[in-house]
Amino acid sequence: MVAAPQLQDAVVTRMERHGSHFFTIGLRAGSIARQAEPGQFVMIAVHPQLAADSGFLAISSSWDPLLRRPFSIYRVNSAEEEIFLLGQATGRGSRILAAAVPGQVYSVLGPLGRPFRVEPGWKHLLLVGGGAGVAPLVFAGERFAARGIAVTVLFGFRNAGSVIGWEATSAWATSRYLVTEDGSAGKKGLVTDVLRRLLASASTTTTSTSSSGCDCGHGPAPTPARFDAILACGPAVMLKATAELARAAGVPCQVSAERTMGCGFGVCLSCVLPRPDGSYALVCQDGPVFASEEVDLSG
Amino acid sequence: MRRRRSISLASPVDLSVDLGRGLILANPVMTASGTCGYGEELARFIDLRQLGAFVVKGTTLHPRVGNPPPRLVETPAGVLNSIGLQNPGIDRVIAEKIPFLARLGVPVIVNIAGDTPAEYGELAARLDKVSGVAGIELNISCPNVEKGGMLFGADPQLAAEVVATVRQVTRLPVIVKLSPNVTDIGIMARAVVQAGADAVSLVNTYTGMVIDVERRRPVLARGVGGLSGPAIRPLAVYQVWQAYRALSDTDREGGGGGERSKVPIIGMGGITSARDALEFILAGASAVAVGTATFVRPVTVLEVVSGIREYCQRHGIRSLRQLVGAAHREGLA
Ligand SMILES: Cc1cc2nc3c(=O)[nH]c(=O)nc-3n(C[C@H](O)[C@H](O)[C@H](O)COP(=O)(O)OP(=O)(O)OC[C@H]3O[C@@H](n4cnc5c(N)ncnc54)[C@H](O)[C@@H]3O)c2cc1C
Ligand SMILES: Cc1cc2nc3c(=O)[nH]c(=O)nc-3n(C[C@H](O)[C@H](O)[C@H](O)COP(=O)(O)O)c2cc1C
Ligand code: FES
Repeated sequence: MVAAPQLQDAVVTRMERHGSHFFTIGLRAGSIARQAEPGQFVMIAVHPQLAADSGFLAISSSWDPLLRRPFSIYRVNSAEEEIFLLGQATGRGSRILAAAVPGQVYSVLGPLGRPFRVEPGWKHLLLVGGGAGVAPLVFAGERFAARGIAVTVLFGFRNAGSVIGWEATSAWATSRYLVTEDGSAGKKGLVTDVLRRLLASASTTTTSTSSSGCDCGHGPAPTPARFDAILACGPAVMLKATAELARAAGVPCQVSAERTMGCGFGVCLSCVLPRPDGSYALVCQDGPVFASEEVDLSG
Repeated sequence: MRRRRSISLASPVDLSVDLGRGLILANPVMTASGTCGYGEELARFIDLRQLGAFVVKGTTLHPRVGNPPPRLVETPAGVLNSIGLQNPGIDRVIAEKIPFLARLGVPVIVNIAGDTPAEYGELAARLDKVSGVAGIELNISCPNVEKGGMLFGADPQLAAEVVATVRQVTRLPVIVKLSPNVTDIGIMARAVVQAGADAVSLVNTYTGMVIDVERRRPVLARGVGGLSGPAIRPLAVYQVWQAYRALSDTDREGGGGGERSKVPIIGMGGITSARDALEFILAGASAVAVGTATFVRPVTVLEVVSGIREYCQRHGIRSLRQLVGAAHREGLA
């Protein structure tokens, strides 16, 4: 059972910027840190909180932009009751949030949504991530590897300057594959190019070892060749292509979907994704993690 | 600090509200329809029993899948939505949704929307004897559906027809939710009250549009949507002010002349705090509803209850009724 979400005032513990677009923010959010499962997200107000004013209680320092922003939980430091978010400063809200400084208090709602589901007996997972979409996968890899599951990582980025979350995977990944669209880091190409190859070789060989695209420095320790499941997060086109390749290879695939969210907890009905039967799933409640065949990713 | 505490012990404040036909709320704060579902999600954050009433999502005779996405876009200090009344239909709402709220004991007001006056009647009739249902809110002001909706909300005769139809089939209190997308909300308020409404609620969302300049087309799949949130608050306060004026010389018996409106108004539009809620009360609302603010801060609705109580204590107000419409009586410069 997934834990009930909490509304928490969280102090910023750390703020780091990576290149011109990405940032990681650490927040002291005890109950969220304790309960969060990989794939879950938080809704964070992009403006810091004002101190409580008796009678007219603590509220955001501004109502514009009004809505909280959804961010996946990227890492958790249970000992320090910290959660980390990996953000990309794209529009107004995320850029305002990117200016946060340690010591400020932000209102965080979470953990929200359904996490990745790993079935008993699964021995080998493949994580397919693109851009900021690697965030929930890093948390997933860390957690599932700690349970003794072999984890292969396949991450893709635009260029070397936008590689993010890659360092963190070296501590637990069995094999790692990095691609960039311009070839300035790792292999040149798209994650789906490598994915096609991995799925093909997994179905013909009995063991695979770190292959040419991998720079993990691990020895040729054998890992189970077959992937029991693919967990994917990233741009919609990448998710769709990944889901199709997984289906063709007969490998179960879970995707973490993105939709504009008014509330993040199931009351506004804005975050809909069509199901094959024409009804709508709520990304914030029924997802964000879906079995790929549950939803129409092009909808 | 110490002083304030001693006042609060000495003077309990009467926050109760009489919405007519025996519907008495313990306090004036309720959820706004469509912003809190049917309660289960919000119950994870707040104790719903502390609400004056819970107003459920707009419910129709048959299930509705709602509009295609995008359904919501952020605007300056607001949101524009086009959900399209997605709901499981009245039968499942009665069977699966209302029992949860009824068990809690919070008064449940069911917001209903129909395509024809007869459909409103059918919906109201089915709700009449449902345990836990304390009142019906007629949504005659939804901008996000093809038929019905706004049409009824912009035409006093059609609106009166809907109300009269419903009035015949239910003994429950009937609240009519008014659209602000009219020239004179006072005319609408009077029409529905004369047709038998026990109370009016306002405002529903303002019709609006956001255009994606890169793609050169409206952001919302249906183009048009309804605007809500802090952006509309001054507009909404003024609509309540106007409705209060109009209803001050109208009452259900057709008589008139009283200085104060006898017909309760439920005010809403951009409320984020007790301060905001008090604006509506001073403009003439007997009760208030919190909508969009719940998306941002699910505890807002209860913060409004405690904030109003504290305000009354601070100002030595014994009964909230003293404040209803008080801004009219203070006179303007
Ligand atoms: C479940 C979930 C998890 C996410 N996790 C991450 C993450 O870990 N790291 C990260 O960098 N980004 C993540 N995103 C995307 C992130 O929420 C958006 O980049 C962010 O909301 C953009 O806000 P903005 O104000 O900068 O952009 P604007 O374009 O100004 O935002 C306008 C509105 O659109 C919404 N919006 C815009 N882009 C997106 C998007 N891609 N997905 C959802 N809503 C969007 C905003 O929330 C806001 O309501 C996640 C989205 C979802 C739904
Ligand atoms: C997403 C959304 C859905 C709504 N759905 C309904 C509805 O089903 N029925 C209704 O009468 N009003 C509906 N409303 C209108 C609200 O109840 C309220 O009248 C309006 O949003 C103004 O209040 P606010 O600014 O506090 O949100 C909806 C509003 C929003 C934002
Ligand atoms: S974001 Fe509001 S229902 Fe999903």
